[in-house]
Amino acid sequence: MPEASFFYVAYTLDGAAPATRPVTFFYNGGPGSATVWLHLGSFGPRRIATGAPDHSGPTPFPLVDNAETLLDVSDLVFVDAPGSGLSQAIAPNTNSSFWGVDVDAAVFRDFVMRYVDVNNRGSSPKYLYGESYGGPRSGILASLLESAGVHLAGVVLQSPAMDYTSNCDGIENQRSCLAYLPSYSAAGAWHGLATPSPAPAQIPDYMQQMRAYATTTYAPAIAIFLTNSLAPEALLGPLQGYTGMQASLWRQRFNMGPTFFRNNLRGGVQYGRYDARVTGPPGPTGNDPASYLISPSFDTRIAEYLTNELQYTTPSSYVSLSDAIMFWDFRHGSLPVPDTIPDLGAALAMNPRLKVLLMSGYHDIATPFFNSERDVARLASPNVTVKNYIGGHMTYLTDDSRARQKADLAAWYGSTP
Amino acid sequence: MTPRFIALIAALWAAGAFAQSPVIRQGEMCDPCVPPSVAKSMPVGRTPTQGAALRAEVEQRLRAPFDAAARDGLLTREQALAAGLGHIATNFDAIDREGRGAIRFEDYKRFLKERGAALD
Repeated sequence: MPEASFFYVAYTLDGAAPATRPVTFFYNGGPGSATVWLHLGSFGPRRIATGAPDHSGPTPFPLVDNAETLLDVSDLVFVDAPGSGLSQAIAPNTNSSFWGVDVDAAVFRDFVMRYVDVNNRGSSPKYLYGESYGGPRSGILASLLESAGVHLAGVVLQSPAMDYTSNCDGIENQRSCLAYLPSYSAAGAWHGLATPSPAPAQIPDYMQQMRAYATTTYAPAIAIFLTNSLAPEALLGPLQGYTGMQASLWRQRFNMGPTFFRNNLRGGVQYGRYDARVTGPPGPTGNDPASYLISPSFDTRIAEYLTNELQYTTPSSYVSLSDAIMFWDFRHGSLPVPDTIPDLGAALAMNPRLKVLLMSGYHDIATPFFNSERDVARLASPNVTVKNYIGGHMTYLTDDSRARQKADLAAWYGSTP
Repeated sequence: MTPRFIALIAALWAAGAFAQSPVIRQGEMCDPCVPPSVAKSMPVGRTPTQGAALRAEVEQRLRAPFDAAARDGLLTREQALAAGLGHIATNFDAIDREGRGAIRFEDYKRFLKERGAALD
């Protein structure tokens, strides 16, 4: 019984042996987002040159050949979730029939199994590459596929939100924001507001220091603050130095969430959520220059690309972003929001050779890298590799980071745990 | 290496025909956000599990589909296949060490642990 019509664009290498040629399934998150970001921004054969983090070039940003395509390593399948892109439910289902943590992962499982079957890829090394909400989707999907007997070779978690119970955004009065601090520090350094403000090349080493400060000094202070609401004066000066945020504002918001940070780091400027290196004029709370400066170009280019380059036309509208998030059933396991680390653990239990690669951006204050590191560290698994890059949520939009990420991906695909 | 590629665009189970249409974008992307109704029920006091507590959650993830497909705690190869539990069905003989034709979850767990699974 057909469930849904999945829209995907697959790039496959002619003449490759399916038994050894990997195939990778890419999807963005949201939930409700089409896979336009990964498809036209990351490792496909064509990419949109956004000039991140500057974004000051003429728009729509140009679509160019991608020197860092992953097609030399793996076949690439970019697939949209039901209700996004051109994917749609089949009656009697509606798109919203698949708008929940568990039903979404299950229908993605069915898609992957159908794709593998139709295209005779049963013996190919199979990889998942999910971004943001695509991370938790991957945790569950990996478990469902392994349970169904479809072994995966690896899972790439790009800026994932693996555990919705570990992120403090929006509930700063009750949950620690300790894992945001290194990202605030990277942002302050990028803009020359922090003391010190190391150059990008020094950020990886500097972040080691900031992880330690966040864990051993800031975190215990937050734990006390959440009980007595008193900001410890001794820490306000160091926090100003590390981030560039005024000490008086640290006193006001000692357990500082990302929205306050990007609206108050400096007056008259709004810093990006998906990439705090990007700036824009002050706007409504939640308005993200790292998003609104690039979204229109992705919308324009995907429509042109499908129609003119791939010669695919349809009377249906391409949905870059639906309102699925408003109707999504976030429940999973025994929790009202998903913690998918146990699911990834179940996938590893069924397949001890499964590789996991976490990739994050130092300047992402939507899914901060240190938070994601702490999430996957719970697994205490030698199969997990962690890589961080200069850049935001979509690390691949930054040219130098995309090249580094491609090299790391190629090495990882060739590795065995 | 300069890969040659073919672009395949397909809609499984459906085919379309065609003229360009507008792109729809409803609001601004906010991932990983949740709507206010969900934010109100966030488990704020929860400490993420690790160690034995996490391993217990992992075991529960493995046990739930097993129990759903089993009868009185016993699962046959046919029941595993019917429930889509291909991993169990494929490895059934190795899991069913005593050749009883039906397995308990503990048999499956032992099989996984022998292969290196981090379970208690």
